[in-house]
Amino acid sequence: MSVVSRDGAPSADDAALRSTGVPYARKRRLFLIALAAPALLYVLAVVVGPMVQGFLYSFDSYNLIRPASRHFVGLDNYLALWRDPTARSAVINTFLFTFGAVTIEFALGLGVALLLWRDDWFNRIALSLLLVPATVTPLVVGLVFKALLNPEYGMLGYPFAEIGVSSPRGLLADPERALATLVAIDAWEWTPLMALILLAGLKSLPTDILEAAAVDGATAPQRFRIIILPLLLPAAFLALILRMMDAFRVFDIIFVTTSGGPADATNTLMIYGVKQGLEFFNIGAASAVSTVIVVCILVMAAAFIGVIRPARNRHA
Amino acid sequence: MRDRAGLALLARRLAIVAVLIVALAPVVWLFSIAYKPTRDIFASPPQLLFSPTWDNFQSVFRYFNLWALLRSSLVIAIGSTVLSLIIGVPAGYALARATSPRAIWLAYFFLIIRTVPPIATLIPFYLFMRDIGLLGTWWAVIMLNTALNSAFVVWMMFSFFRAAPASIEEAALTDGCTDFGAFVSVALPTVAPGLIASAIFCVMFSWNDFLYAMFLTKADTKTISVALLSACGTKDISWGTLGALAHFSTLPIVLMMILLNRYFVQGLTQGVH
Amino acid sequence: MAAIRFSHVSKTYAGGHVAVKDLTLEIEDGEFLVLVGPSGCGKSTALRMIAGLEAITAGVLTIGGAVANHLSPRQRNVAMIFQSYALYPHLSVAENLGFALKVRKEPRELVAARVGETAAMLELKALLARRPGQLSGGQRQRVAMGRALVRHPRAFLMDEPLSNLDARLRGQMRGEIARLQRAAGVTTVYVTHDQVEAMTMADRVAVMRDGVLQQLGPPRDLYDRPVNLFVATFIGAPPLNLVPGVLRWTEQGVELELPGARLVLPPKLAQKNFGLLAHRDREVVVGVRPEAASLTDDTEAGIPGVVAFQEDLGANMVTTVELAGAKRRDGVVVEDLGESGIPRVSNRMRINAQSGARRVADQAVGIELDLERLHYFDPVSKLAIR
Repeated sequence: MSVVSRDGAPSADDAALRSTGVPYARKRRLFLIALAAPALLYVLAVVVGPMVQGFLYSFDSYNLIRPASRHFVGLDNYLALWRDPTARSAVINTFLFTFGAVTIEFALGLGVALLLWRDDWFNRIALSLLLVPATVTPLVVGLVFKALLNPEYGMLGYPFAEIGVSSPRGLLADPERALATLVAIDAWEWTPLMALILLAGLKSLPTDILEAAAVDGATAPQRFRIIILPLLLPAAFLALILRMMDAFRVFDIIFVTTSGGPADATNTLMIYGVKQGLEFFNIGAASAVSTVIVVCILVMAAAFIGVIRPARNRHA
Repeated sequence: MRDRAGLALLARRLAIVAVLIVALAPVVWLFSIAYKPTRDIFASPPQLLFSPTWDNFQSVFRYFNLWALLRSSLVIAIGSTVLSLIIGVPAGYALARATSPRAIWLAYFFLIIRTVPPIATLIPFYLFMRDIGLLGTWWAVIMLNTALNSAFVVWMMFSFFRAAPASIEEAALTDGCTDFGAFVSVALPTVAPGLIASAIFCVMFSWNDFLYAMFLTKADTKTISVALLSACGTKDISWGTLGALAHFSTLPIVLMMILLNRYFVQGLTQGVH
Repeated sequence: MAAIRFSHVSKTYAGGHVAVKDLTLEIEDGEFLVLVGPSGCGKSTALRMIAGLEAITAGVLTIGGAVANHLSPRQRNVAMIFQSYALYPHLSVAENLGFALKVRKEPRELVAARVGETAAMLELKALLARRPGQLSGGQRQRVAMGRALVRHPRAFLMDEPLSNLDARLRGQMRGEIARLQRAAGVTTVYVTHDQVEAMTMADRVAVMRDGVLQQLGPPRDLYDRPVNLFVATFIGAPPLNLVPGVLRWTEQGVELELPGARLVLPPKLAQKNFGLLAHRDREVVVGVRPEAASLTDDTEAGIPGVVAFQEDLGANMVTTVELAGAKRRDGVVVEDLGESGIPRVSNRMRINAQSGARRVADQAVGIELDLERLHYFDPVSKLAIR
């Protein structure tokens, strides 16, 4: 930051500059770093640290029942996962559940958002009531639907069994339909949230473009397809990614309803991993599963970003 | 013409009501079974009408130390919310006002940290807490909840601060505030709705969490969400007890959400844009 | 009160974009200096560098004689009025006004007294308890000014403070601001893109473009002796007419060949302007102020042309005339605009007369020029020929 005068010698301004102490620009940067540091350090210590430790456990044969016999086994845990048919089906179930849930929640959420697009008292009250399912803890949601779907005494389960929608053992005990049922339950809980975010996206659309399209003669479905949907996707983008990552880690609902059954039909990676860790105390295997989950989530997010980002930039 | 618009509005409103029924019926059912005698709960085919009873509430009070449970949940929820706000809000501000383009990646980092699968962190954290003797105390749960909640607060406040015009803080700086002074006396009041929204989310996450609470607490520090799990026996769940318990575990959050709905909505929509 | 001096100051952003390039500018104590230029010219950046809101990449900025590069905004003791006013939304008008004093821990009585006298000066007394959200645009603008006046700072920095007001209020406030500044006697740096504000309010005007200072001087100087094409066409409305011409030295004297006419220049003109000699027999760009030309019905006198259209502004009449060889496309006259809407050299002229005969399109007219008031520019370097 020095000023060199025309003949190349440092000017008096140079000396004046240097003598003014710590520059404000640096002070401000330090200030911002100081504000952000506690959160960053805390999260690194409490979340990333144990995560890295867990990652290291995945390379050991480590069982809490026999902690002394812990030893390094390299990729054995991962290979065991690869070879285990239960684990493989868990992976497939997890992906099926994730894509099913997110797609349905997006479609239904969009429908609800379109219904609520106008801003009046009715819609405002409806919106506040609509978010109630999202506030109930997933654990309770699972229990509630377990009761409702029971084929003997459930408000839904009994009619379903009677008219043949489900087998006499109930939807949740049916290996063919259990996963789909769980997707439906997940949709019940999270569609309202998706609807809220999509509604915010709809409201943020520039109205003059829509009016111009209407004046140009576009019908409602045309306006939806050509203008609303493409402009909405960037707004929905983040919500979709987050929902995708959360759906991949689904646990509570499945745990309390089917616990992975019947016959592993609803076994997901999380259930499988938790069973390994907390039922069999096989820390090594559980850590391997959790690492696989993290990798899958990152890959999914990256793929999603890779697909959506060019579309986003095109419409920016 | 007016009739057509009126008809469309009616159709739309009916559809919304239908959606609301689907959304709310299970929740209403949950609270209703607290008043249903066990006999009627298990009746097959299911009965809609019943004569209400207080039995389930009585068994809840008998088998659970409700006040201790509520106290634990409250301490953990408030503790982790306060800590998360203290470390999260300044970080959100710093990232929003950072001049370096790398700041946005840090913000995404905080957002993503929430998606770490619990088992990845739970077991090592459990062992660590055991080693330093904090296992079974409220602190263990608060510490872990704070880590995840503060990450969420950072992201949410980052969005709110980014939307707030920096020119007002610049005015404060030229008027003679220090950087910290501008943050406290001008930036914070401007994002007050964001602060409330963040607090609501922290309370909700901590109160509803059961996995961490279950593994990091002992009998005397159990939260009410963990108690919900005990309502599930091995064979048949005592639904009536569950419904009664839900009045204390779920109803507060539902009410908070309906009353503070404005902030909830604003927080979510701000945080995703 | 302080003088402000830029000494070879530059601002380069991380991506490489240069917002301000080698700016050397001295603002005298008590002066009202206007920084004017099109969007992106660096004027706001320069202003923010004085306030300390933008870091300086190279060069030295001094305020009141002391180097200010590294000082925080608080330490510089300057007051800034933002384009959006930046009023504190959660504080009342009185609290907004007194904010800077409270921050410096001034005693409550002093704060109340100063707030009171400033509110009286700006007619804000009735609004002291209200919040900014409850005020109109004009009222908010006055509160922003009051916030600056309350402080007795070393300098006022104003970033397009009038651009959010409607035209009538803008005209009113122009006079107000000028009056207040003269009364307070505080060094003022005022940024705007509106050359009317620059011309009417400034002691001196600094025209900037693409980060480079084009010309610095009193408003009249910029109008009468612009140093390049940009300044010449930026200052003045309607803008300067630009027509292509060729200078020829003949026995009769110096001839100026314009589209459709040949004018003999008065001999003393060629003698005063040596630069013209260097441009003999070459193309030049001739600048004619719209009011330095007049129309007659006699097409032989002056330059022949054809009326394109007229704009009756009430107090004056602006007639657009096409000269020989003017561009037409499909029978419609084409306006030739360069970047930032600055007119390019063309064969059209706008004549501004205080009142004038109504003329119809395609009517033949003659344009008489005031030969003493012509400007000449080199078409390649765009500089004025002196």
